[in-house]
Amino acid sequence: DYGVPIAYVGEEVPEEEKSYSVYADLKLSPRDGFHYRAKEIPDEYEVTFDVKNVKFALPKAKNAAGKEGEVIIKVYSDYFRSRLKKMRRILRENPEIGGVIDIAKLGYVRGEDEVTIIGLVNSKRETAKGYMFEVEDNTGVIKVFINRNNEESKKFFQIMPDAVIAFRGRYSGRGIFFANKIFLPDVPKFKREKPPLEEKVYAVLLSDIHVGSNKFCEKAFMRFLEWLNGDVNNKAEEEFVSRIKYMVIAGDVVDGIGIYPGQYNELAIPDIFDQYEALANLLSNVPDHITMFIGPGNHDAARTAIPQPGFYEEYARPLLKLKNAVIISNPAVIRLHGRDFLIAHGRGIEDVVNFIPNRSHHRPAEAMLDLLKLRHLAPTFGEKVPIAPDSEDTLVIESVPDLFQAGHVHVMQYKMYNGVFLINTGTWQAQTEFQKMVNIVPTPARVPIIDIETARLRAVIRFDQYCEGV
Amino acid sequence: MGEIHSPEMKAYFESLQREIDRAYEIARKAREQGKDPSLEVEVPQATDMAGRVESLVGPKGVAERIRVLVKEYGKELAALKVVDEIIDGKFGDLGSKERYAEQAVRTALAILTEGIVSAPLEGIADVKIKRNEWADNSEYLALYYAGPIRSSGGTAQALSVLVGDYVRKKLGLDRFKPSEKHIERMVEEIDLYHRAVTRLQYHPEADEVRLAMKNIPIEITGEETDKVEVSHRDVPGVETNHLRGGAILVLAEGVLQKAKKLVKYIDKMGVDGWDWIKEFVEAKEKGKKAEDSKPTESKAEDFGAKEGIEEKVEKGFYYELYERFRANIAPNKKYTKEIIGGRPLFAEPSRNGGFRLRYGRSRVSGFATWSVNPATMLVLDEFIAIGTQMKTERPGKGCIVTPATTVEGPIVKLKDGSVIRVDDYQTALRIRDKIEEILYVGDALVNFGDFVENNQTLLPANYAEEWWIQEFARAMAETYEVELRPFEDNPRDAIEEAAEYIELDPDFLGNLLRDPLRVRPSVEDAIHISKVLDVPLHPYYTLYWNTLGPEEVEELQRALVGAQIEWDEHMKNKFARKIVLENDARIKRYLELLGLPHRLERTGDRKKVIVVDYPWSAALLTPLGNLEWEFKAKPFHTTIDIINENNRIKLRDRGISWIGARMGRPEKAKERKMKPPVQVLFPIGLAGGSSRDIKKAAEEGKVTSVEIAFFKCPSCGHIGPEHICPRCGTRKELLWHCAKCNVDYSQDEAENFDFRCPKCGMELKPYARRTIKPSELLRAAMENVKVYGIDKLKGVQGMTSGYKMAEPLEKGLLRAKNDVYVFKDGTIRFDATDAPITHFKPKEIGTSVEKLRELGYTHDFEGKPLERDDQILELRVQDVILPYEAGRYLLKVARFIDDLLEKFYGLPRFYNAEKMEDLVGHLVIGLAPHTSAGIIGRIIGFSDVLVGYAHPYYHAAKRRNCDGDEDAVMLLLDALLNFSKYYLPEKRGGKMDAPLVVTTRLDPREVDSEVHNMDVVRYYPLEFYGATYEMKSPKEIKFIERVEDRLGKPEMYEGLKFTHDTDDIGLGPKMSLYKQLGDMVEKVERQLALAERIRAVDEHHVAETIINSHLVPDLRGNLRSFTRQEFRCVKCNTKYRRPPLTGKCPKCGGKIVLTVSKGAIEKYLPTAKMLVTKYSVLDYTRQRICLTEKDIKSLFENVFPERQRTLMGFSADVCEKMIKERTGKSNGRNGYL
Amino acid sequence: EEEPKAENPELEKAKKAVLDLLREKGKALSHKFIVKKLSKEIDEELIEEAITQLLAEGEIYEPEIGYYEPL
Ligand SMILES: [Fe+3]
Ligand SMILES: [Zn+2]
Ligand SMILES: [Zn+2]
Ligand SMILES: [Zn+2]
Repeated sequence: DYGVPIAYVGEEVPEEEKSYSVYADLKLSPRDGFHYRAKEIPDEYEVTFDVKNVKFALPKAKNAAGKEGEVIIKVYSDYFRSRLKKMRRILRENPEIGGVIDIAKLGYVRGEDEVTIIGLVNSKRETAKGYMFEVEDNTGVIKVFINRNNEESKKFFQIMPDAVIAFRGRYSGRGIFFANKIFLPDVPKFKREKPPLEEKVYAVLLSDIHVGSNKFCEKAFMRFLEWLNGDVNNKAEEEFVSRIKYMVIAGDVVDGIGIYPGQYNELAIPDIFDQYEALANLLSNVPDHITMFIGPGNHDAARTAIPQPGFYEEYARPLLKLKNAVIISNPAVIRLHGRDFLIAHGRGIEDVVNFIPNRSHHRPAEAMLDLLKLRHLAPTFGEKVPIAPDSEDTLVIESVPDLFQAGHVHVMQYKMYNGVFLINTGTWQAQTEFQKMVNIVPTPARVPIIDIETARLRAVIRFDQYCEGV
Repeated sequence: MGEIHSPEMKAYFESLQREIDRAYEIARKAREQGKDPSLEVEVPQATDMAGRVESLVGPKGVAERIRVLVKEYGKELAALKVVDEIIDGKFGDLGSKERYAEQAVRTALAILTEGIVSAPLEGIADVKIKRNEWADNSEYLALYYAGPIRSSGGTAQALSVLVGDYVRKKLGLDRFKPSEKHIERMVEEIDLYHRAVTRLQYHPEADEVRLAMKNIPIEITGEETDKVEVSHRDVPGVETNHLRGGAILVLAEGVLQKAKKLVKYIDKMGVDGWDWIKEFVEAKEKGKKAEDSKPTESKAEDFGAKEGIEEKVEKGFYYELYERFRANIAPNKKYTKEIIGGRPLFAEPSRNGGFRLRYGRSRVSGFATWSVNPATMLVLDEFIAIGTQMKTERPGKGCIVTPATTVEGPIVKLKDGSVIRVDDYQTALRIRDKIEEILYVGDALVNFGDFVENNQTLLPANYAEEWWIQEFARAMAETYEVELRPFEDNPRDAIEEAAEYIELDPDFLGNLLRDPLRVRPSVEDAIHISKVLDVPLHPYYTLYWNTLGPEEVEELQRALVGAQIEWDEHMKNKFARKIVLENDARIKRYLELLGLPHRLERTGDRKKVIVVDYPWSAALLTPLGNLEWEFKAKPFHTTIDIINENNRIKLRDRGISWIGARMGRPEKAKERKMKPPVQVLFPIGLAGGSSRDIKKAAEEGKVTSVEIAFFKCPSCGHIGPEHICPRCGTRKELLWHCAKCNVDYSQDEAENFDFRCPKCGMELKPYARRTIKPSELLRAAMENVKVYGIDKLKGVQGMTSGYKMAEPLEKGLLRAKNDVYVFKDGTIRFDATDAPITHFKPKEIGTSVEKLRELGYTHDFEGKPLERDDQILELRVQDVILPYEAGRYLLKVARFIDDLLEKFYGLPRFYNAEKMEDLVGHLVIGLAPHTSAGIIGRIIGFSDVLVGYAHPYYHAAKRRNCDGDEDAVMLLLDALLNFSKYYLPEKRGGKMDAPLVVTTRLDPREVDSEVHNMDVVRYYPLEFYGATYEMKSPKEIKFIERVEDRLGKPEMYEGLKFTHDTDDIGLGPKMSLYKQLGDMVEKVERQLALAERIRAVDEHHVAETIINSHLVPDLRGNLRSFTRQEFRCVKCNTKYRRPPLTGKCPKCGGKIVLTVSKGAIEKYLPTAKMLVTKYSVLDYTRQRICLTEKDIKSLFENVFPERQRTLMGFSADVCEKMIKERTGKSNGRNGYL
Repeated sequence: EEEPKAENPELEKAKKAVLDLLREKGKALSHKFIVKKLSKEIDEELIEEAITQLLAEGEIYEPEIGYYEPL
C-alpha cells in the first residue's frame, strides 16, 4: 500500500509502556547449608546521631509575608552562629588553645599580649609577604595576617572559607591581628582504645548504587547479592560472608529523575517510583540477619540541600518497607558494637577539590581528611554545596568517629589518620557520558569489608568484572 | 568616487553633509567655551572604512594608505600590507617590537571588521612577545584576548589569529611551542566554559583543540573573564588560573568553527604554514559525508521491500517530488527544543498547516525578515506584532516579522462550524474571537537572499499568484504570440489584442498583469483561462488537495455524488454555483483540510447541512471534473497526480513546503534608562538615597564624600568640579592627586613628575575622594540656567570612568526639566528593534508630499513624479523612519538641546520643534551595541509601530541584521555637545556602544556583507520556480539579481525592487500580546490556548517543552541558587558570600537581605503544575514537577512549620493523585500550594 | 464508397492551414486568433468554412465556444 506524502508528521512520542525490569523476579535465598556465624551474634547497633531527631529552634514566626526573607536571614545567621559555638567547644578541647577573646575586645588588650581569637574565615588571600584572612565571630570582623616565613602559615592552604579556625597572636591596634599560630579544629593525635570484641563481626560499606541509570552495574550487583547468599569463591570469602552483620549505604541509592538536564535519555528506569521499587526488590535479597543502614544522597528523592533528614516517604516507600533496613539521615552516626561510624554522602568533597590545591576527584580520601581536620562536612557556603536554612549546624563533626564513610565521587579510596579510618566507597555505576567528558574514571562494584572491632578495612571484594563498560 | 553616484545621490549626500557641517559648527562653538571635559567635539567624522579605522585604532595617517591599498589589493590583502607598513616604521617609531606588533594587529583587525565593531580596541587586551621557556627559550608572539572579542564575530576572530601569525613572521619571531600543559589547559578551559559559563555555538572535541593548539603558531591567551577555576593550574606563561573567555571564543568559535572560511582567506592572503587547517577541514567534510550517507542507507532499507516492483511502477509527478523532498530536506527541530513560557510555538517543524513558504521580498523585508499577512498576526492572538522576533526552522535561525497584505492570511474554522479564508485585516478583526481552529496559519514571505545567506537548499515553491501570472504570460506569448509583462503597465494595443483573443475585458487584463497579487479573475474566467491556455488553475481557487489522501478524496467524491448541486455555465464551461451536503463529520473534516470555505446551515427539518457557496463550489468540483469522471486512488500517486491524469484543468500544489516557527523576543521601542535612571553623570554617593537624588541631598543640606575630579582656577585659585571658574569665568585645570600623601598637583606639576607622586612614588590619580556640598553646587547651577522647579535630579552613586569627571549639573537640570535621561557616555538614547524598509508611501510616515519633495523625493519608484501620498517611493539609504515613541522622546531631547544651547552655552536655539513632524529632516546617529562607530541618519517620518524602520544598508552599516537585533538612535547635536570619552567607564568593554567615530556617508561595499545577499528584483522568474522543484542550491541560481551584483555601480544605491507590496507598513498589531500579559500562569494559558487552536501545533508537545526548557531549569536553578546565594546589604549594597553572624551589615549596620527570595523559587510552580495537570506529558516530566514541589517544601521544613492541610476524600492535586495511583496511599501532604 | 464531393482546392488549403496552425500550437486556439493569423493569405469566409468542415469531419473539436483544438 502507499501513503499520501503529507510532508513530515512529527515523530510520535514513544508509547510509555514499561520496557524495563524492576527485578520483581529476582528471588535469592541463602545457599543450602551455608553457615552464617553472624546470625548467632547478638545485634548491637544504635543510631547515635540522626538529623531527623534534631529539634530545630523555630524562629518566631512573624505573620507578615514580607518578613519571610528576614526569617530566612535570621535562620542562616543562627546556622553559622551554631557552627561557631560547636567549633569553639571542639577547639577548647585542645589544651594548647587558651586566652580566647572576642574580636570586639581586641582593642582592650595590650599590644604585647598574646591572645587567641576563634572565628569563621570569611576570606583569605596571598599577599606579598604572607597570608591575609578575614575572620568573623559574633562580635566583629578582623583581618588576620601571618608571615610567610612562619611554618604555621602553610595551614593557609588547608583552610576552607567559613571554616572555624583559632589564631594566636598579637593585635596591632591598626585593625590587623598578627598571628603566629593557627589551629585547625582537627582530631586528637591519639584515640582511646576501645574494648575488644569477643567475635569477629563485619560490615560492608556501599554507596552510589544508582539503580535506574542505564549505566547501573546490574549484573555485578546481582552477583554481589548472590555472594551474600553464600555463593562464594573460596574459604576466605566464606568466612567474610558468614560474619557480615551490617551493610551501610551512603546515598545515591537510585539515579533519581531530573537531577541533571537530559537525564531522561540516560535512564533505564525513567520513573522514580519504579527506581525505588527496583532497588527494594534487589535489596530484599540481602539475607535477613544483615541490618542495612540506608541514607540519601543528591540523586535520591530527598531534600536537595544538606543536611538530608531522609527519603521522601511517598516516593521511596518500597525502601522503607524493607524489614531489615534502618533509614538514616545524611549525615548520621551509627554505633556498631561500640564503634562510631560517621556516614555522609560527601558532597563537601566537591568544594575541597575546587578549593584546596592538589586535591582531586580521584583521591577523595584526601579531601575527606581535609574535612575531618576542619571538623565539618561542608564548610563553605555559596560554592557547590547547597546548604539548607536550618537554625542549627548539624554538619559539624562534633565527636571524633572511628570510621568516616562517604561516597558521591564514585571512586574508592581509603586512608588512616590519627586512628580514624576514612573511606570513600565508590559506586555501582559505570562511567557515564558526562564523566567521560570531564575525565572522571569511577571504580565501580568494589565492596570493602570492615572489621568492626578495629573499624578498619579487612578486605575489598571486587565484582567489577561483571560490570559492563569497565 | 564620482562615478558610483547618480547626480541625485550625489546631491543627497551633499545635503546630508551640509546638515552635518551645520551641527558640527554649532557644537564647536559650544565646546570651545570650555564648559565640557574637552574643548573639541569628541565625535570625529569618517567618510569611509579607512577613516573609521584611523579614528578608532590609528596609527595617524593610516587612512590614506588603507584607501590606496584596498583599491589595489582588496580588503584582506590590504590588511596585511598595512601590517607590513606599520612594522616597517612607515607610521613612525613606536618604541618596542611589542608595540609594533600590537598596533599592527589592532589596525589589521579593524580593517577586517570595517572599523565598526569595538573588538580591535577592546577585544585585544594586550600583545606580548614571550619566550618558550619550557622549550627552546625562543621568542614568540602572544595575543591576549578579552571578552569583547565576541563582538567581532567568529570569522574576524579567526582572522585576527592569522594576522597575528603574519605579524609574528614579519617580526622574525619563532613559533609558540606549547607544552602538554598548555594544550591540556585549553582543552579543559573550552569544555569548562561550555558547561559552566555559556554554551558555545561550536563545542569542539578535545582532539580538535589539541590539534589547533599544536599547530597555531602564536599563543592565544587572555585575561580572565569568569571566576571559574581550572584544574590545570599554574601553567608557565599563563597568568591566570581562571577561564580566559576571549581566548576560548577565538579558538572554539573562531579558528575551529570558521575553519572552512579561514581556509579561503589563507589562500586569498597567501599566509603559509596553515596546511593543517586545510587537512582538518577536509577530514571534517569527509566525516560529515560519511555520517550523512548513513541515514540514506537505512532509508533505502526501509523501501527495500518495495524496491523489487519499484522499477516497473510509475510514480505520479508530485509523489516523486515529495519523495525527493523527504530524502533531501529533513525537518529541523532545533528551534522547538526550547519554548519559553508565554512565547508560543506557531508551527511544528515542516508541518502541514504551519507557515506556508512564499518566496519573495516585501518593501519591509529581506535580510532575516519574514513578512506575513497582518491577519495572521491577529489570528495568532497578536503574539506576533510588527517587529516581533521569531525563531525559525529555516532558512535562518531567526527573523523579525513585518506586514505584507499581498500574501495569504490564515484559513480558520469558526465556532459555528464555518470555514473562512482570512486575507484582510478587517475580516480578521471581526472573527478573531470566534475561532475554533486555525487550519492554516498563512504565508511567510521569505526572500531568496536569505536562502543564499544561509545556504539553504531551495524548498519546492508553493503555487502562488506571482508564479501563475508568469505561466499565463508565457502561454499568451507562445500560443497567441502576444508579449505581455507581469508587474508592470503593458502597452494598450498588446493588452487589447490579447484580451480579444481570449475574450477577457482589456481593462481587467491590464490590471491583472500590473498587480496580479491583488487582482484576480473570477472563478469562471479562471476556469476559462486554464482550459484554453492550458495553464494550471489560478492558485486562489486551488485547494490544499494534497493534504488529503487519495482514499479520502474517493470518499469525498462519493459524498459529492449524493449532494445537491446547483450548476451554471460560462462559455460552455459547466461550474457549480452551490453545493449542499449532508453534515457528515468525516466529510466536513476533509473540506476543512482542503482549506475550502463553507458553512453550516439548518434545514427545515432542523438538520444541519454543509453549504459550499460560489466560487468555492466551483473550486471544489472543477478539479474533480464536475464528477464526470471517477476519482480513484492509485498507487504512488498523490491526489493532485490523479486529478492531473484525469482532468482537463490541471493543478499545481499550493502546499508542499511548510516552515515552523516560534516566538522569540518581543519588539521594542523605548528610551534608554540606566538602572536606576540617571539625569546627570554626577556622583552623589549615598546622600541622595536609593534614587541618587541630588535635589534631595541638597534640600537635606547633606555633605557627602565622593570620588570626583576637581579643577583649580589658574587665576583665582577656586577649586571645584566645574570646568569654568564660577568666580572669575576662567577655564580651570585638572588637579592630580596622591591618595597616600593626600596632596594635589596641578596639571603642569603632574606632567613634570611623570604623573607619579614626588614624595611617595605612587601613581597620581586625576580624581580624589573629596567632600562636596550638593546644596551649594546645585544652587549655583540653578542660577546659571534659571531652572528651579524640578522634582528630582537623579545623579549616580559613584563614577565608573577613569577620570571621574562630573558632568555640569546644569545639563542635568535641563534634562530633568525636559524629562529625559542620560546614558553612561553623556548622550541620550532611544532603542528600537531594527526593521528593514526599502520603499515607503508618504501617507505611511505622516510626512507631506511637499516636505518629501523638499527632502529630494521627487519621483516614485517607477519614475513617475511624486504627486499623491499613496505613491511608493524608494528610500534613501541613510533615511530613517522612527517609531512614534521615538518621535515623542526625541522631541523632548530636541527641547533639551535647545535649552542647553540657549541657557548653558548662550547660543541660539536650533531645533525649535513644536511637534514630532518638526524633526523631519534632522539628523541622528544610529549606533549598535558592541560597536564604536555610529552612522548618520536623517529622519524622514514616523510610523505607529515599535520598530525602527531604516534601509537594510543602514542596519548593515551598524553591523546588525534584522533577526531581532535592536540598537539606538540619538540626536546628532546631542552626541556632539554632550558625548565625552572622559565619561566612559574604565572597565573592559567601556568603549563599546559609544560614538567614538561617526560615518557620514554610507557605502554599501563597506557594510556587513550579509546584506549583499538581499535580492532586488520585482519578481522571481519562472526558471526560479523550476529550480525549486529540483531543490537546487541557492548558489546555482544566477539569474536573480542581488545587491552583490550592483556593488561599485550607481545602481547599488538606487532602483532596488521588491516583489510583494503591502497596503501599509504599519498595518498590524503594535505590541505583542506577550508584553500585555501578566504572570506566567496567564502567559502560559494563553500560549496553550493558541497551541490548541493551531492545527500545525501539538499542544502536549508544547506543554512538555515549556516545562523542560523553561520552567524546570528556572525552578531547579533557583532552588539550587537559593541554597548557595549571596546576601546583600540594602544600605551600602555590599555583597556577602554568607550572612554575617550578627545578621547586620558589619560595614554600615544596614539590613541584610536575600538575593534569591523564597518567592523566586516558587514563582513558576503553579504554572508547571497547571501544565502537568492539563496536558499529557511524560510521567517523567510530571514526577519531576512533583518532586520539585516536594524539594521546595522540604527545604524550608525547619524554617516555616508545615501548614497541615486536612483533606476531604478525593484530592484534585495532580501529585497527590499520582502518588495515590502509584502507591495506593495518599498522605494528603504533598500539596504545597 | 466515395462521396462525390466537389473538391474545392481553396477550401482544402484553408483546412490544411487551420489544422497546421492548431497542430503547431498543440493547444486550443480562439476563433479570433485563427482568423487573424490566417487572414492575410486566406479569405475570412473560407477560414470559417474550413473550421466548420473540420469540426464536422471530427478533425478538430470545440472545447469551449469559439476555441478549437485538434483531436
Ligand atoms: Fe553518586
Ligand atoms: Zn577663578
Ligand atoms: Zn604620595
Ligand atoms: Zn552595609
